[in-house]
Amino acid sequence: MRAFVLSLAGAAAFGSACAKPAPISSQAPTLTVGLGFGGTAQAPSRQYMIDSLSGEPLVAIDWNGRFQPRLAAGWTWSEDGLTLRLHLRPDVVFHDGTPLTADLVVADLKRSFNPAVLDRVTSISAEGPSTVMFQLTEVDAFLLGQLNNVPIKKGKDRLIGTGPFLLRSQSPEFVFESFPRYYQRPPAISKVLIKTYESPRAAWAAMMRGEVSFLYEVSRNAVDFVEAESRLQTFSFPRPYYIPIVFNLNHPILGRREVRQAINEAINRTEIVEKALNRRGDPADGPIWPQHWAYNPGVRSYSYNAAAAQIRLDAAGFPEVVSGRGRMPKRFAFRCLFWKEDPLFEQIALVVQKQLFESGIDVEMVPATLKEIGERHTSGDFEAFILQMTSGRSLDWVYGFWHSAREKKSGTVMSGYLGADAVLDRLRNARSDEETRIAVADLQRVLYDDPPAAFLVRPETARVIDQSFEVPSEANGRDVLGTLWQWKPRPAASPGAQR
Amino acid sequence: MTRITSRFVLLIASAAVAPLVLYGLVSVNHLRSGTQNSVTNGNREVARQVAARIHLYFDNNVRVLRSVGTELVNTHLEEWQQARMLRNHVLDFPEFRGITLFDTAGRQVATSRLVVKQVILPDPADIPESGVYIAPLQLDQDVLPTTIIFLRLDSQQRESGWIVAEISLEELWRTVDQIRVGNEGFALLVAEDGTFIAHGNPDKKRLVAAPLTSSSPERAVATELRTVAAKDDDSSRDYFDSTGRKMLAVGARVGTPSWTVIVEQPTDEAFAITRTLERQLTAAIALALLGTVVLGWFWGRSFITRIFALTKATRAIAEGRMDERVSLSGRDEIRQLGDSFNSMADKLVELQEDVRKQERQAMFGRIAAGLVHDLSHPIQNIGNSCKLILKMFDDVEYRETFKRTVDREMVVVKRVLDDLRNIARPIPLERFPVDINRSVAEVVESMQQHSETAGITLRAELAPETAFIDGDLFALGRVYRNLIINAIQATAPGGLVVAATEAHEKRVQVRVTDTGCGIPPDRLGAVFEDFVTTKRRGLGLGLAISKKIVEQLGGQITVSSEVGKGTTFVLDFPRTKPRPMALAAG
Repeated sequence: MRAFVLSLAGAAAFGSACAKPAPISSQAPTLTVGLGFGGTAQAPSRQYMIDSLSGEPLVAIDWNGRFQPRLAAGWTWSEDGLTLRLHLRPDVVFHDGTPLTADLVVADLKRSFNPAVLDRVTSISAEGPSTVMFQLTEVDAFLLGQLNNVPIKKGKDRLIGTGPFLLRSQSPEFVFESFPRYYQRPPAISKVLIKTYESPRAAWAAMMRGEVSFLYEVSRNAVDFVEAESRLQTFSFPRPYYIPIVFNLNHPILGRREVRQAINEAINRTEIVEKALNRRGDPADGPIWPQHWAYNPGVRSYSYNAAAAQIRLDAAGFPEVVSGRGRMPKRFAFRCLFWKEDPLFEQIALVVQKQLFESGIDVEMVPATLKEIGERHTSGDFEAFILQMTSGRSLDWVYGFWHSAREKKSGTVMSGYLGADAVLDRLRNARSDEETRIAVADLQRVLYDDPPAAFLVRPETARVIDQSFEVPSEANGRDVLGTLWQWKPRPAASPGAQR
Repeated sequence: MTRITSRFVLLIASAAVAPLVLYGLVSVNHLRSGTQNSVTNGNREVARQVAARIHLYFDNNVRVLRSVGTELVNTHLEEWQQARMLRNHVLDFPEFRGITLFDTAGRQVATSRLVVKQVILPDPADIPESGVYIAPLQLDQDVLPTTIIFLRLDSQQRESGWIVAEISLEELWRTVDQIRVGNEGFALLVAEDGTFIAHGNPDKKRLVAAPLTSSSPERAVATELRTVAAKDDDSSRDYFDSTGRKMLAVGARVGTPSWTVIVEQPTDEAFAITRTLERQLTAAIALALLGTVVLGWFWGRSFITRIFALTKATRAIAEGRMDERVSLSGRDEIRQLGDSFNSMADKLVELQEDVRKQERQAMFGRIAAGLVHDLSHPIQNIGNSCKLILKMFDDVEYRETFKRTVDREMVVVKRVLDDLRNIARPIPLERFPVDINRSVAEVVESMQQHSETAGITLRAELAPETAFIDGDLFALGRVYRNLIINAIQATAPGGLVVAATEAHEKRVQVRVTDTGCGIPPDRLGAVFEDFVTTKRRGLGLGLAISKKIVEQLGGQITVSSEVGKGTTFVLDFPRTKPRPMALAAG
């Protein structure tokens, strides 16, 4: 009996010894990023990823469109608003150990920026070792937002940045290593690899096989299934983009405001979100980022009302007529280009076409490549097109797409739209929050009264991360990429770590 | 364990425990196989239902297509109307990615697609009789499975074209994902070429993304079950998945298309109920066994304890503790046996007391008779001499005779009294190494005249080697004389008495053998007892005292006899070493 008890005790001791938690891996924690190209995920995504890792701008824009210090610890405007001084952080060094100085910043700004973008800036200079001074011809509320768009780098190919990760190699894949002298704190992740795949499917397949720990983007059709996986964390968030039908106001019919208003009323945006975006998105009411601090949700926006649209078209002199055998009865017709390389746009086009058909508008949806659309919208050779456009989280993007002066200079969209120029100018010249808020509300009204486009939807996207990494909770509902430098490998014994 | 206890335990084991254990084993075995079959069949039924749903899904889609196609063909709509209709269907039925109508020549008539996608109609040889052809599975950009359904349209008994639809099988994923068996049982869908179409286990979705050439336990068992299901075989498979967990997998064929639905569940969950029931049954049987054993033990204990008490009392009585009695509880036969035992013990005590009284009386009688016998003669002689001395007091010679007579008779009296005293207490002995040969030879020598007078030959046969014993020479001499006198008295004239010695390594023996009348067997056992004699005179203490002397010297005395032939007394002593010469000289 004694022998039995003793053997049980021995077995228990052995079992408890065997059940000790596994030790934390001594290997450097590596994050492998999978980037799948195709559709809206294009090569610029890779550059965006690279810039997020290795570079930092002077000024950051937070989720609500507010400017936040980054490499610039702060800034001051002159009394007349024509001089901006950025005061650099003293503790920042480049990846090669060179301290961040005003001279280096000035040199990079001059090299990186298109003068057409900083069209109100007459000079950029260093005022002392840590102050960068901008001289302007006019007040420019968008200048700080513009500075967010370019990370400060040095080197012949602008590969040496100040970001949390330094670029070690570019071939066969991009390899980044943690920068121990990053001024905030060195990242817990030691290494980041970026692997590119020919399609989002291939990238996702790689993640399913465990070859990738962070999927840059997963398609809306697949998110439902990915969310169910216990070993993955899915972060969905609204992207700062919108999808409109942009009208060419030089078109004899689309140039008429009431027609454009009727088209906006004839479109059921909720149905587009439902059927084309698989409920992964929101209806759009304009180009302004809905989370922007100045956005006014109380301003009127278009809701679906096919009957009102038809009445408006009747009143505008566009009754429904039968034009002949083999042709649908219609009020009028126009041709709309859509981006054929992304199946999403074919779906949107189908839904929109059906909705407009029900109001008697015959839209011929013409598939086109991105290049074709780009060429045609910059040349004005279009009637309408459906494309994804950037709203960004700052207001300079809105100005850039919808101000007629910008069209001429940078050749973005030659739609002939002038209706928002005045209010966009006020927006750019605003020198206070109050002025900005008033200008934004007015812009929303202008875009409602005289819509240059039917703003359809704002798509959502999702990024997927392996459970072996812990992500800060403030990333929920927002782009988790912004917090990548704060991610931590989960200890091997914790419940979340399942790799 | 006594024999009755063993038998009792064996009785309980054979009557209660063994059948119970056997029943338990049979029940557990039947329970296990029954529930396992039940679980497997249940899971197979789930797989069949899922397969039926998938088949229905395709069937419904085919019906929808057929309906759309027939409507398009029969209603003679214009091209834009046909396109509109197809697009409306695509928007209303999200699983349709695109629908295209072809004429009999294979030319596109209308399509829901805005982006032209080339569709190649299948080879007529590949088209089944039903006119429905389902293309092999593809994975789209999002890894979601798609396939193309080609449906031949027949109107008024003749072929009237084709309707082709690209279908997203996302709904199948949802269907498969919704299947749960227990908490950890999932369904998966495998194409005819072994491609994993869908997997309900979120942690195994990677199998869908894995290339066909990759190997895994899941893929191996899926291949097996595809073959099994294709033959409508009801077999199931147990296997260890890629995480090392044992799984129960069953399959069911979809039919059209030729896919297989597999339902798998970890065996520790699938058979959890089985195991619980087994444990409960085993516990119940164990409890019943324990109860049986405990009850049996308590009942048996009361039974056997009483028997042990009786046994113990019996032994005590046998050992002479006559006051031992049993006190047994109950009202059964064992109790009656105990009462009978007590009565018997009481009776035995009475009888023993009676016997003791009788023996005491007999012994006293013998002692008295012996004393009277041994003492009356010397006392009579002394009395007679006293009477004469009164008359012949002046006779000096008579006074000497008187003195001699009194002294002589007083020696006899003293000897009788000494014998009596010695039998009651240890005889004082002086121990020292004695040459056995010499001691025997001296006694034989001293009794030669006695033996000659009796007409008997007395002879000593001594051992060739000298041997010593630790003894009292005087006491040993008395023993030898007693034995030789008894031998002479028991032997008729012309007989022989031999006193012999034998020396062994550790023992020395002295034998006194005669050719006398022998001692009957019924008296042989009592020859060494006190006050036992066959002579007319004496207390009967001679052999008793001899035995006492021998035993005090560490030896033993035995007798063997045959009536009419003679008797031999054997004295056996431990051999000792002679006294060193220096001590002997001192």
